[in-house]
Amino acid sequence: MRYKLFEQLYEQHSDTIYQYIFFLVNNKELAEDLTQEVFFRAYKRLDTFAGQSTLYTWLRKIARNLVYDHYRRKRMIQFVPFVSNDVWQDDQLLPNEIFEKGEELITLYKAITHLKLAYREVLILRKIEGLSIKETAMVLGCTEAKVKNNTTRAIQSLKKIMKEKEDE
Amino acid sequence: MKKELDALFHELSLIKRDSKQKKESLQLLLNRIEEDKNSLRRTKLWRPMITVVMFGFVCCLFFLISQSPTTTVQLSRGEDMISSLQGNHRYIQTINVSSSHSLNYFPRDDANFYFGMEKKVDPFQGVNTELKDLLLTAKPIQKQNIQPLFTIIRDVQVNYTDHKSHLKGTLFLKIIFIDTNKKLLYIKDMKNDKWYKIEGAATEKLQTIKAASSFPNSLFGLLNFYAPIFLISFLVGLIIKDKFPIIKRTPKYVDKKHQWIDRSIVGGGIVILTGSIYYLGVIHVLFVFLIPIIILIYRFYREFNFRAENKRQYLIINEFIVFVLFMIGYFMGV
Repeated sequence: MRYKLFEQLYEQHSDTIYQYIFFLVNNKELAEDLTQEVFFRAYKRLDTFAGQSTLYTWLRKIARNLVYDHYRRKRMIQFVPFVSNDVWQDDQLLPNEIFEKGEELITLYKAITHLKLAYREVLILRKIEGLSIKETAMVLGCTEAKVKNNTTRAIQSLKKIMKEKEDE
Repeated sequence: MKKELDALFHELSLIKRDSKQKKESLQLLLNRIEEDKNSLRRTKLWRPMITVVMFGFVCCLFFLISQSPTTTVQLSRGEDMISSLQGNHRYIQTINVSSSHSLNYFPRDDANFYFGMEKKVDPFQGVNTELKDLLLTAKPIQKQNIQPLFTIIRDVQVNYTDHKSHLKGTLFLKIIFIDTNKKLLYIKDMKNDKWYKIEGAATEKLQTIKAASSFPNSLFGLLNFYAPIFLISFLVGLIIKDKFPIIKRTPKYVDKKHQWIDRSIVGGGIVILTGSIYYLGVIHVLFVFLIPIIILIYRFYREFNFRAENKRQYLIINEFIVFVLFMIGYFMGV
């Protein structure tokens, strides 16, 4: 019974979780692995889910923690920033769908990968997943004002990066 | 531009996941869950075992501490202060001093078992016979009703030897200095519940005992033993946090119950420690070590049993190692 319910949960939410992770790590294989890990942890901890938020919000929090863990494991010492620009830029990791949709989308995708993690996260939640400011603030565990601020700054940075890319 | 960007974001959101990969991933996930069920049965058995082993280790350590041979062999239990020190063949070797606010409690164990007791105090800097002569000027008096408000009380363990028989003995004296009168002090011999008073010039000389600090101030030990341990454990903690990784935002407590029990133990421990130090002047080393050990074992149990995946138990093991090193350092006399 629990198995069945869990499979349903996976069917229902795994795509969105995968997408969220994918845009944060920019690697299909890794995103797939981390998505699996999210659901594995969720299964193990299903009893501790208190119902204070929706199951989806809970799953996304697990996903977010895992992505942060992943970056933490990668960096050598604490003082080195979370994401290095050189790490991500591997065109082989770009999904075919992005290639198919044209140059503009590739530029946007690449520009997103150049953003710092906090900006990237807020853009994914607000613009790609379409969450409200309130929901985003809840997922990120910060104030709504900070979400607004980060969104504005993220878009500004994104535009700047895209312009630079176009000029190149 | 903004509208264009929104449209692009929308297109990006429509990118689909590879369905074949999704199916494979689900199958792998179900296999993992099945494997995990089997391993969980095994871990459920050995997880409490670790806590038991840690507790057993601590108990053994305490047993060894409490069973360690004491250096003092009582010469004669019945002898009072004057008869203990009288005679040319009897010499005071060392005294151990601690402050106190109590007229009844006295730290009677080996001085090494007390925090807050200054060991081997030499009030007259090498003049061995002077302290003995001063104490021998004491006159027996009736039991006094002293109000501790205007007094300074020092608990003094006087270790003396008999050069003839080569035996050792200890006197447990409570020396009561009067704030308003520096030419009078009272002594309570705790072994026999006898009271003495000393008056005149001898009293002024004995004031040096009052000045003895209650806490050891070993700068050497602090700089060369404890500070490097702290530093190394801090660095090890950073590496553990970084490599496992343990995330800063992980709540300190597993749940509300954990929070309340942990805070109660810490709060109770602080009350016991500060209360003892203030009122009794000393605290037995068993309490000093037992309270942190209970806290560490409880934290380890909660972390390991309820959220092992957060890996904070490694930090507790690190703290535990530091703590054991501190205990070893203390008993080695660092």
